[in-house]
Amino acid sequence: MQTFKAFYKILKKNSISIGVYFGIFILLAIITTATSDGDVPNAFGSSNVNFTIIDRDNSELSKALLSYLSKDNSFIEFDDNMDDIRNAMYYRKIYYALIIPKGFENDIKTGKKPKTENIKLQDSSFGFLFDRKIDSYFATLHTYLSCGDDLNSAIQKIEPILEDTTKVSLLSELQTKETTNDYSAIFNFYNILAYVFVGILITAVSPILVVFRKKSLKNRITISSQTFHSHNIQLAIGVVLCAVITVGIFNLIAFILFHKDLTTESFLLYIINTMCFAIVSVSLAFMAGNLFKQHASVLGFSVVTPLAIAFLGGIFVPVSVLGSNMQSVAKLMPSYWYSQSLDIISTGTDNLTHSLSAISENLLIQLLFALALFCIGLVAAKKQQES
Amino acid sequence: MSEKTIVEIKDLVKRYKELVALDHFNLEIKEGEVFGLLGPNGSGKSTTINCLLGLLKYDKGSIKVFGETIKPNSYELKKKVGVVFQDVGVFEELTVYENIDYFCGLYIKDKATRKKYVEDAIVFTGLEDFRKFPPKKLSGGLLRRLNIACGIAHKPKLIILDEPTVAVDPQSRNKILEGIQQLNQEGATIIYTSHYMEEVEQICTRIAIVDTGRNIALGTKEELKDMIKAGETIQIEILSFKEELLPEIKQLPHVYKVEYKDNYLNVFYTKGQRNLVRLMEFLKEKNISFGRIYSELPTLNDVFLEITGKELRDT
Amino acid sequence: MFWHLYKNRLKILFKNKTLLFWNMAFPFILGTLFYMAFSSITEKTESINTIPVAITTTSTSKVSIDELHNSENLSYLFEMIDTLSEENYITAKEMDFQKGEDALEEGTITGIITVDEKNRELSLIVKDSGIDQTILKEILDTCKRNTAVLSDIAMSSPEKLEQATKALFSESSFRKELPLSTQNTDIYAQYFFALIAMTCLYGANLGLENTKQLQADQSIVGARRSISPTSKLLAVLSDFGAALTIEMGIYFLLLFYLTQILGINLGNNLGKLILIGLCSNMVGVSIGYFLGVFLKGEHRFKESIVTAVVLTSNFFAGLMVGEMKYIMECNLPIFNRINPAAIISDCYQYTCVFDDAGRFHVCILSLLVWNILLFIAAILILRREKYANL
Repeated sequence: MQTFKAFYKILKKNSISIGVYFGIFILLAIITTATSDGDVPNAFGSSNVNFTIIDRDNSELSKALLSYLSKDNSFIEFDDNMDDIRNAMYYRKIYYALIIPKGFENDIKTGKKPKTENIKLQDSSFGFLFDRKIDSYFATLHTYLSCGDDLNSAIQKIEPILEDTTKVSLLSELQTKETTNDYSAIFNFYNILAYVFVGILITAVSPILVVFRKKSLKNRITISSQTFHSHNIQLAIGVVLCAVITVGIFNLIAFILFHKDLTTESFLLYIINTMCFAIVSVSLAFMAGNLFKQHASVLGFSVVTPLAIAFLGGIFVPVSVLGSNMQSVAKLMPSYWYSQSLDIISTGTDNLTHSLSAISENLLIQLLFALALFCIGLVAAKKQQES
Repeated sequence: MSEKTIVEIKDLVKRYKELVALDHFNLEIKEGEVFGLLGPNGSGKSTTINCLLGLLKYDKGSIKVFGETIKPNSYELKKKVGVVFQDVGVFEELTVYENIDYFCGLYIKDKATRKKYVEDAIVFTGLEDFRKFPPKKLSGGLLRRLNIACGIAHKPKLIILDEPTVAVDPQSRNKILEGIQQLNQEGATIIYTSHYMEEVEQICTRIAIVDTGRNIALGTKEELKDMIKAGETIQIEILSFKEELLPEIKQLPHVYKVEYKDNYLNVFYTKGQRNLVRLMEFLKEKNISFGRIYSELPTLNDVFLEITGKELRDT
Repeated sequence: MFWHLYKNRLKILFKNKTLLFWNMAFPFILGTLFYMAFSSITEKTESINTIPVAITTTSTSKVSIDELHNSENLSYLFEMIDTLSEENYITAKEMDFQKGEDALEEGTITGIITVDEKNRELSLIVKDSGIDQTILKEILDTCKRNTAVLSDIAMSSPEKLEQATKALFSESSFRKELPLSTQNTDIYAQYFFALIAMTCLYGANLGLENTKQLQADQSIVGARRSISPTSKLLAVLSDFGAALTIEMGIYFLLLFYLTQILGINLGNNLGKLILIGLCSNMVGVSIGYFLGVFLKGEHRFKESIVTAVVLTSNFFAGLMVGEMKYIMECNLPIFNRINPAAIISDCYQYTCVFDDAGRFHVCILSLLVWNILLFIAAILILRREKYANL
């Protein structure tokens, strides 16, 4: 097992830089998961839009307005700092900021028409929604005021009217998803592994293959008594071991983070899915190891490729929000099929066989990608040899 | 050759953890010499050079070049020194001309002077036809010549060549050795390190034999050979020889060892004259027919062997 | 001497095809990927669009929608729908309930507004939850509210009905809009800012390559240069200048590609963009210098570390997850003040999004401080010049 031993020794020699990448990617996976929103699709619920109110008036009216707006949306408190608010809005942490000026209630009481101020994203549907809600609130309030009611009485009168909303039903109850609180977090963790696996495995494996392909080394090995098959099988064992270790480590982390929400069946499916994608990743690494001669080239490839796969294949950007052309392109990425499997697994399963068959097509497509990449690697190796 | 000391190394000690690379190493090189540092691989030659150049830290001792220690900011001193490293150190991205021009430019600011020096270096190393070649298109020998050109283009007063002929074809090697002698004739002091005794014997005026970080013998090649017992070795082809005659041959003047092996009579002499004549007279007297005769004078390898008990190429 | 060194270093770096290729390929490939990924994202996730709906009877109704439309009792409901259509909030098409269901299933409409002739009200059927669906609900809620208010006033104070109607449908608003920014508020521009930051910091590879050819223990060329009578500072400055020149070239090419070819809005203050580019690229090259002289080991190891450092810096600046910089701002703001990629991204943010000169200058200053610190540290280490082992 000389080749395998050499593989392992070279891997060990690069262990610091591989370790750095492991550390970064583990951090990446955990942080991304920890910051994912608990966006739980349910039976019809109004879109929960984040907003803030800067209440400089601190009156009954401002409190009533806040209460009304908070009913179906999420109020996030901010200090009275326009820079912070604008920054938060730019990052879509809030979509609407309403500023109630000092003396607003008094002005309303005395018949003036004071104006609230708002900051929102231009031409956005969220901004439109809030504008309508606020307009409707004041229009309704103003109607009672104009008919002689005092402010407190008007506020009380409009309350039941505001609570009586349109009846909304879903087309089909079957379309609701069974979800857990941490659906989003588990999905996000495994989703980002598509990026992580490609990055780590190209970084770990490709440089070793480049070493073995050096002309002088290759010649020595060729004329040795070790058979071609033995040499390549040992290399393959080394490569597969890297994949298995990577899959093992990240699934262990998933288990540590989410063991409360993971069922045995779903965990098994996650492992199978990640193993398939790991095979795709090592095939990519194999291809890179045969295409490039220099370590710097491999490094460059290891940075660009995972990002390309992640952005085009629906990892960093959900496929549903890509343009229609791009959605077609996404299907050319193995990460797309990996992510599709995750989607199925994440909706929960009690029947392992049933779920496995549901994702089998996606798994097969991933393996086909792996095969195609492997073949490209082989062709590249052959061409190099011929030249 | 003047009496002016160009390089003075006193009591130099350099350790790599437990390994003592230089063990109280002493050396003095005079102006105008072609000084050889001869020793097997790992004897401390390159370490000595790197310490001398100020690249390596050392634990003890002193090194003076042109009367000063080379420090990072000894710019005037550095201008007088040129080095040809053992490994080729050129830019892959620049052509032959550009490489020589670049390195010469580190020493010579004036463009006109530099241009002339670069031309001289190209002619000197026989690279006229390869000016625009990138290094990767040169053969091993040509690459070595480029390596030399880059080291000597600025016409330094002290040139250090660290095993410049490793893996070089015989034609290039001869050209390199001739070139070094020419540089010496033009006024440069040369330090030449090698483990090839033939080269050192050919060009060096004075030689230090180095082993395990120590200067174990120093002198001209004749002085070094005089240090050892061994003198001439005569080998005569004799197809039929009676071994009883061996003690008689041993009685001949200056003979310290005699043996008969594989149809050859080998007689080892200490220093002395007319050894071959006496031996042939003896054989004639005994009516012994003989064939081919070989006579070998002692080599530096013999010197090394006698002093250290091992061959120069043992390691 | 400076020109001699600078000119040759420029040639050497320029001819290093591998290095140059990846330094250029990365930003252009990724920029294109971003463009492809984000081109319709704002439109799909944020922009207000006219919402297609079907107007139908309820599922149990025994009359057709046309009959309902002609019913006097329900005319006000249809008037409300017409108003909404005129204001372009919805495009409404009347059809049978079954056809409406089919259209909703296919996705050609967002919701079905059903006219309930018994309760004299409108209700909504949707397929999913979403902002468009929520807007539809809000629109219908407004109609319901208006009806309820007027009904209440009609019953309690009928003499005030006209007044109430006037007040309810008055065009005067209680809102005044403040601008978020006069410039580019597209959050996906953030990715491009991070991309430019990454491009600048990738100059670390050039810096690292330079140190390899300056250190005696890294290459024979480094040994040659170490024993030459050229001052180390001069050698470093000239090499640094050459690396910076190449990086600025890549930077300008990238800016051109992003703004002119892909149409990304990076503002129109060219002076600021040049200043940001200069400071950012200087930091990038300095990082390469510093890591190249500070780290011990083979060049390959150093290459890996440089890539890892630059990648990590950019991760926290939002290269992969756009809001990461904001998350750090909320949880560990000090990190954003020292992370070079985040600082570079902020430079663009305070130029292209929020025109905040004060913060912009702080960012530029921070970059300069980074550059000086790294550069001085590198020089101090390089001046050492003697090695324990070659």
